[in-house]
Amino acid sequence: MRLINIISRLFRIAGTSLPGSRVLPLALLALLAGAGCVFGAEPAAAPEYRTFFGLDPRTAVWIVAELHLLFGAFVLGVPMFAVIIEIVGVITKEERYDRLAKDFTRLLSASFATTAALGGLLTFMLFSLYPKLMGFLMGAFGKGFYIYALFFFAETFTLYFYYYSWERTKNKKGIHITAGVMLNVVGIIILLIANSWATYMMSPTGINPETMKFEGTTWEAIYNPLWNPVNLHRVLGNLVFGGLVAGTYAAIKFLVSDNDEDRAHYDWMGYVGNFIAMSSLILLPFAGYYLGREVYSYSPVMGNNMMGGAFSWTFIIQAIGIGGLLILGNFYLWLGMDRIPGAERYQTYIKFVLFILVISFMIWLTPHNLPLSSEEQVRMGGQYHPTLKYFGLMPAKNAVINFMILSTFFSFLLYRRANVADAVSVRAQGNMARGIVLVPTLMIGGFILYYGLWLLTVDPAVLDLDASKAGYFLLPGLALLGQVGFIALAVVLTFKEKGRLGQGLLFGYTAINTVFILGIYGFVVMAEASPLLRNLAVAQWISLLSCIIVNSAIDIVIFRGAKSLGKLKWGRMPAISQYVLILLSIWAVLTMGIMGFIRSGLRENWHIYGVLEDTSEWAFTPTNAYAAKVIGLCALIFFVLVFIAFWLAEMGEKKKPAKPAKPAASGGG
Amino acid sequence: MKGKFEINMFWKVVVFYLVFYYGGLEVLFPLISKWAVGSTDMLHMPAAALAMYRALIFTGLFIYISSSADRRKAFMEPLVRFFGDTENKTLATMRMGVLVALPLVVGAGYFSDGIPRLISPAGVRIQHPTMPGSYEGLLSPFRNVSEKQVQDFQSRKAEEGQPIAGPEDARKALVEKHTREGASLYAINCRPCHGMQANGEGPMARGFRLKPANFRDPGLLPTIVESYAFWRVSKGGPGLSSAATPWDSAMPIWELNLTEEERWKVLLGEYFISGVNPREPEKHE
Repeated sequence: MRLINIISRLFRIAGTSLPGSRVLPLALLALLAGAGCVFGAEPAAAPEYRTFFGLDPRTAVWIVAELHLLFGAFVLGVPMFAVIIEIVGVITKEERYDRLAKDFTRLLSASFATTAALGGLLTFMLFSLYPKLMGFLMGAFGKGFYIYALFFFAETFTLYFYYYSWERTKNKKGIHITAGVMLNVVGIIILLIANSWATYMMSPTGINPETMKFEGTTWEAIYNPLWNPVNLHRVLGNLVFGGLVAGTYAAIKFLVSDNDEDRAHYDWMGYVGNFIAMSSLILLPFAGYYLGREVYSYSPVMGNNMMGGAFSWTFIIQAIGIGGLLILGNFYLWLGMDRIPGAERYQTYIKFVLFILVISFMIWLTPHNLPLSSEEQVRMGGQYHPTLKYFGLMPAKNAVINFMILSTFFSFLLYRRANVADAVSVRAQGNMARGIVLVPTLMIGGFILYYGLWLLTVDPAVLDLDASKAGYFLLPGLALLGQVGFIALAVVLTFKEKGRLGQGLLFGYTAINTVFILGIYGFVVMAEASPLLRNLAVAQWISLLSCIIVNSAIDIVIFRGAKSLGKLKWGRMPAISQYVLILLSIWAVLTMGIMGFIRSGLRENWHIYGVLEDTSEWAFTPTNAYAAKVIGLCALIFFVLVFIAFWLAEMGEKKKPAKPAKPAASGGG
Repeated sequence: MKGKFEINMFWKVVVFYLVFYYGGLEVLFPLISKWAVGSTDMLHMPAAALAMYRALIFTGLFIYISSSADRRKAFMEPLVRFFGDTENKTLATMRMGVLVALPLVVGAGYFSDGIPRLISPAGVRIQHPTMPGSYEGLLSPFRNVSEKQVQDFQSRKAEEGQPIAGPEDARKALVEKHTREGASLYAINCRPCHGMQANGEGPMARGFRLKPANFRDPGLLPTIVESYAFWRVSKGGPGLSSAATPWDSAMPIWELNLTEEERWKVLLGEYFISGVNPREPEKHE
């Protein structure tokens, strides 16, 4: 108790008076006590498994771990963009950005205590229900657990300092922003450490193959083959998730607001949340592809189980989740165009973008193996539809996800330019404008040129292919050189005051290149030179990325200071738009649950893949129906807890008197 | 001035759905599929695919209509007029007709769907059953031949009076020899079901409801490493472990009839005949 009091006092010094000030020390003690229990325990005497009040311990751990991860994702994701928004506020000297950043951060204080409490509960459960597994992990990560606890302290102090010092450091923004950056650094380190445990269970290293005992170093255990792919995926995923949950908060506040000013503010907050989520989401499929390939590289068994085996149907459900997020994100954006004077000029494009999204989504979720009746099997002459089967293969998936991302980016550009009249002269803006276009263009263009030349000159033996396969490298190499050519053309046209034509040409070539040329060529490569398929995916991805970067840079320049067609009517959004925001975060929670189930389930009957077998009666892979029920329950509990946390965060705010209704009009995009 | 003829949003949406769903998915796509594979019959989409696509088309149309206030209004306008005009007697009669017919049509649809009849359920089949981890590191000893095997082969050929000069040529010749042996093993054991072209069209293939695998399918052999194919050949259908079941396959347990060497060789023959390379195990980035 004394230790708890000491730690609580430390929290009070930091200025917090929230319920978390007592929960956090308990959680930290749980972590340390759990570690101490295992180090002090006699391994031979401890049972390998225990039940959770007589119930299935695996499901109990699953629920608590998933809730902890969801809260953790929110708590680590929000500070990333809160600091960026604060910095934007300092640069633009606009007060509303500061208020927005603080609004986002306010959500963290109560959520952080819940995250810590769930972490403490999870630690207790893991050490008591799975002592053998935790004993093994302590052997590999021993000191890492203590370091994790120390970083947790650092996270606590920086977070509360960042939030509670907001007003005091109003005139010392440098100090405050530094605290925000530190908060992110510490948060990311915590994320990386926790990721190392989860990924080590999938791809263990440092194991003596004779004794199956860990003989490596802690760093070896941390730096396991799947660590970096999961790190990348989770950092981006946290940004998406943080943006969407914050968007949900804004949506609810919008719906219950009783005055136009609040509605305008929360409409804007929801828009920013969605913008952050979508900006990160368009990078996420590639991080997912990288993770998937690395899973396959580590173990073809896990790879096959993931997309062609036991989890292939779960993967289809996950595909619905990803496609749904993209379509809903676009839907929200289009709904927002009604509040932009001038947007009516671009309404006609929406049907084409939507058509591409729906067709791509159809292909995206078509499995190689369709559910068939016996009659259909006989009619089709086999298990596979003769033409639809191609939609189920990786090259088709790569092609359409790139098309969906490109279309989403196109929607963003329409939204961005909806409010402005004609493009402005680039020449008149001087060297600054040229720099804005040239710097990112040279960076991404240079990288594409390098990668294209590498493909044209590389020895196929590098990819374990024999010399006769060299011809297969030619087309992707030339396609990338073509991409460089179109990038250069777009930039030249921009400097010749024809930026929009340049953008259009770059869009066109990118779509043809990534979706049709390299997409279809993927089928050839898959059959004849399969190791090249991952390089083909990289070629598609960097082409897409170059289009996004270069066209964004051009757009910034050609519409810089352009004449506005009227003030944005923030707050003038139909209620359906706010329900779309709420649906987006529910959709994201369910998708994350499915993805987590797949990632963790791939180990099948292994706690630590190939090293420590799960010998309990719960070693079987749950059915999709069971997983759906558990994930649905987790989502429900998560939102109930989030609403309680947000309600607690609201309690500290002074209620403003209701204002008379007046036409909403505040700020621009 | 003569007004420009314009179809209302509501009817545009209805026409689009009919054209896209019935024209595109039910007629055009089967025709294209028929033409693409040179089939004599229309290749209709399976019911599961149609259901998925139908749901997506509805979602797309819903998003299109509701994403703008103008479109929402334009879509609702004929409906509001039809259901809200109390003056027009013709409309009132039509409205009554619709209100009577609509529940009848929906009810008839549910009745026809729910009525008991003889129909086999749609099966959800996974493509690759779960291979035990002990197989995943295996490499074909007849494709990845050792230097000693190559030297022994060179010596043997020299003794037979057919010397092979370089080790690379000798390695190729040795793998070719193994492939020929594998192809003849394939012809004896696999051809009856999988066919001489390895396309799943062997003389006995018609006897199965679920046809034997077509090794020329781009989604089959190129997606698995050779050790996986070795495991499948070894265990067939009945020999699969509990982790890999339930899974439907009538393939015999070949490890009961063929030696390990023969099973590796038969794979060389299978890949050769189907014209596909095994998937290479990939390296970490």
